[in-house]
Amino acid sequence: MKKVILIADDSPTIRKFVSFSLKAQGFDVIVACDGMEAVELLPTKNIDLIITDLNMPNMDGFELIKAIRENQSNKDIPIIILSSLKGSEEIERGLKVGANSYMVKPFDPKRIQYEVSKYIN
Amino acid sequence: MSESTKNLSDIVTKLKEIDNVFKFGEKMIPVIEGFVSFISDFVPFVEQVSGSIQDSRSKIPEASNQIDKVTNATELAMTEVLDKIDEINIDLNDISNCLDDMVEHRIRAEGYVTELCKEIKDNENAKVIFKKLLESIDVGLTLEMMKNKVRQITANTDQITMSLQVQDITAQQLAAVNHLIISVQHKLGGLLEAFNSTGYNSSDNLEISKLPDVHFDANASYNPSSNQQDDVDSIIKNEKASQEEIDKLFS
Repeated sequence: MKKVILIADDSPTIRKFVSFSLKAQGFDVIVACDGMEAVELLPTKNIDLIITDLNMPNMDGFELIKAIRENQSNKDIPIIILSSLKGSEEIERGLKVGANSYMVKPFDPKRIQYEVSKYIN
Repeated sequence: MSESTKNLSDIVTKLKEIDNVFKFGEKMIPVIEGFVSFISDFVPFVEQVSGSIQDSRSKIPEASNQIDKVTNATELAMTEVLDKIDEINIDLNDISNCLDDMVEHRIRAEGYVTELCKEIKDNENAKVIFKKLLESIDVGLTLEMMKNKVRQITANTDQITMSLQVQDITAQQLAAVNHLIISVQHKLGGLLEAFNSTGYNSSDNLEISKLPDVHFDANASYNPSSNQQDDVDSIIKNEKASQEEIDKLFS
C-alpha cells in the first residue's frame, strides 16, 4: 500500500512541485491550500507524513503543527516545514512547535525525497 | 495730586496705549494682507493636493488588481509548464523502462545465438554467420548511451523544476508590494478624512480596500544554491522543546 503524504501550501505551483517530486518516488499525495484545509483532511485519510508551508491564510503552518501535535491520533506523524523563511527565529519556533525537519525554498527535489525517506520508506 | 488730575493722567496713558495699538495695527495691515493673500493662494493648492490624493487613491485598486492578475497569470502558465514537465518525466520513465527491456532482450538473444553455435558444431559457415548476427545485435553501447541521455534529460527537468520555483518567490514579492500599496491607500484615505474634518469636502466616495492579511514572506529571495539549506541544517541540530515552551509560543 502506498504511503500518503499531505502537502499544505497556499501556492499551487509549490503544491505541484512537491507532488511531482514525491509521486515520482511512488507516494500518494494529497494537497491542502492552507492549514485549515489540512486539519479538515487529516481525519479522512491515513496520513504518513506532512509537508507544510509557514505563511498561509486562515491557519498558518505554526498553528497547523500545534493542532496536529495536540491531537493524540496525529501526534507522531512526521512533519517537514517547507518555507521561504530562513531566519533562525522561524526555524527554532517551527521545531519547537513540533516539526521534525525544516527545508527552505527553492528546494532541490532530491533533497525533499531524501528528507521524506528519513521518516517513511 | 487731586483725584481728578489722577484720572486725567490715566486717560492720557490709556489714549497713548490705544494710539500705540493703532500704530501697531497700521504696521500689521500689510502683514495680515500678505497672510490673507497667502491663504487665498494656499486654498487652491490644498484642493490640488486633495485632488491628487483622490486621483492616486482611485488608481490604487487598479494597480492592486493588475498585480493580482500578473500573479494569477504566471501561476497558471507555471502550472501548465509543470504539467508538461510531468508528462515529459513520465515519458522519460517509460523510455528508460523500454531501454531496460531492450537490454534484457539483447542478453537473451545473445544466449540463444551461443546455444545455436553449439548445436551446429561442424558447420563453420553457419558459425561465421551467427557470429556476425551476434555482432549486429550487440547494441549494448548504444543502449547505455541512450540511458545516459535519458538520465541527463531527467536531471535537466529536475533543474527546470527547481528554477521554476522562482514563480513562488516572485508571487510572494508581488504580494508584499500589493500589501504595501493597499497600506498607502489606507494612509491616503486617512488624509482625505482629515481634509473632510476641516470642512473641506472631497468628492472621494471610494471604499477603502480591506488591508489583506500578511501571509507572504516579503524577504523571499530566489537563491537556488544549497548554502541556504546548509545554513538551516546547521541551525536545526539538537532543537528540542518542552510542552511548556510550545504553549508559550502561542500565548
